[in-house]
Amino acid sequence: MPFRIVEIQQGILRKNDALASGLRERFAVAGTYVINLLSSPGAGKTTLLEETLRQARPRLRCAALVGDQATDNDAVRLARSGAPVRQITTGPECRLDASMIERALDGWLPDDVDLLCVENVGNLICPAEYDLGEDLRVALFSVTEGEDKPLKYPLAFNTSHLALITKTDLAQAVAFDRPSALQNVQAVHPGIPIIELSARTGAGFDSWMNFLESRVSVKRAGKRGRSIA
Amino acid sequence: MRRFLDNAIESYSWNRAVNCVRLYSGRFLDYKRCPSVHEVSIAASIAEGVCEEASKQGVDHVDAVHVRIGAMAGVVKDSLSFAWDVVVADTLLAGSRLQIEEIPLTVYCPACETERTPTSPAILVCPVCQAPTPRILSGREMQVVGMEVSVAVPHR
Repeated sequence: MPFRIVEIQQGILRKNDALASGLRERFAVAGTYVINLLSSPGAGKTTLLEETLRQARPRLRCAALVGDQATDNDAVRLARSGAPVRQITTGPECRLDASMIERALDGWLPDDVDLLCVENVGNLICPAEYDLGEDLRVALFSVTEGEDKPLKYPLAFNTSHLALITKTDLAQAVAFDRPSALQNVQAVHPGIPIIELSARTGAGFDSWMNFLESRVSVKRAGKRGRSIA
Repeated sequence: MRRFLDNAIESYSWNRAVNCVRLYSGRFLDYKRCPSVHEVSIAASIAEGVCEEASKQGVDHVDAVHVRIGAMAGVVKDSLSFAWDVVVADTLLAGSRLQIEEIPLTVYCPACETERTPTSPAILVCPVCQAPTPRILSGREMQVVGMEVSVAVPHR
């Protein structure tokens, strides 16, 4: 049968990308700095955020969004910090996308939030493809997961702006090969900054908080005039 | 005609896609071919865009959909093909072929000042001089290129 080719030429995730651009604009107007945390399950995202919220709270107005396929356990943990926290239950979906963020924000996020922390679903594959309108994408892996984690999930580490190595207090117990871990992160994303820390002992945590707070203040300073309501 | 297309598009939804997979995944004997949720999401995004375009152009049957997927896009070709069949069932794309063009990963080597192909998407170094190569030239693509449609035949 005769056929013709109809050219389309569009990004597969263009809808998500368009929504993410809208979110980015909204966060720019509000002066809200947004971080998107990516890791495999159990790397320590929630513990990192608990400690981050605890330390940042006196100085910064913080909020958190937490994605999980089921349960609101992480939201309950984070809410103890006193910051507004909202759980996004994704059901069968293995990642957050921009439409989920948009729905979650409506009528919830206060206008004056300085730092919005988004904890993605524990997964290093799917979340890497979805822009959430964040300023900073952070890929983390713990010393207990093995030094080659970045090599196994290159896209997550390549699309991130910062890599965190967590649970460094356990490094000795698991014979963590630090030089090779650092080398592997640099292999998948040459030049990416890396911070090593332990939320439990506090080692390295200052570097993370300084990194974050300097960026939050830059964003806040550049806050655009509120658009006419 | 218009109504037929609108219905076809409405009949398609995320939930539908996911439910299809839930239903089917229990029945796969060859479990390795069972699509992962990730590829289902991607397939659904492709289908959504193509259904809209087909509707705009007044097309009621699509033979094939052409996409470009980069080597570093994190999409498994076989899983995507399989997810496609499940996702497009009961839409105007039912029975269509998903033609996937794989785009190799290429990077710019600042030391050699030329384009190179790394040995692995996980090791962004120049295969010749071993310099780090942060700039990716191709390999991240996730693009719908077009659709093949039969030339219109008279409608009953």
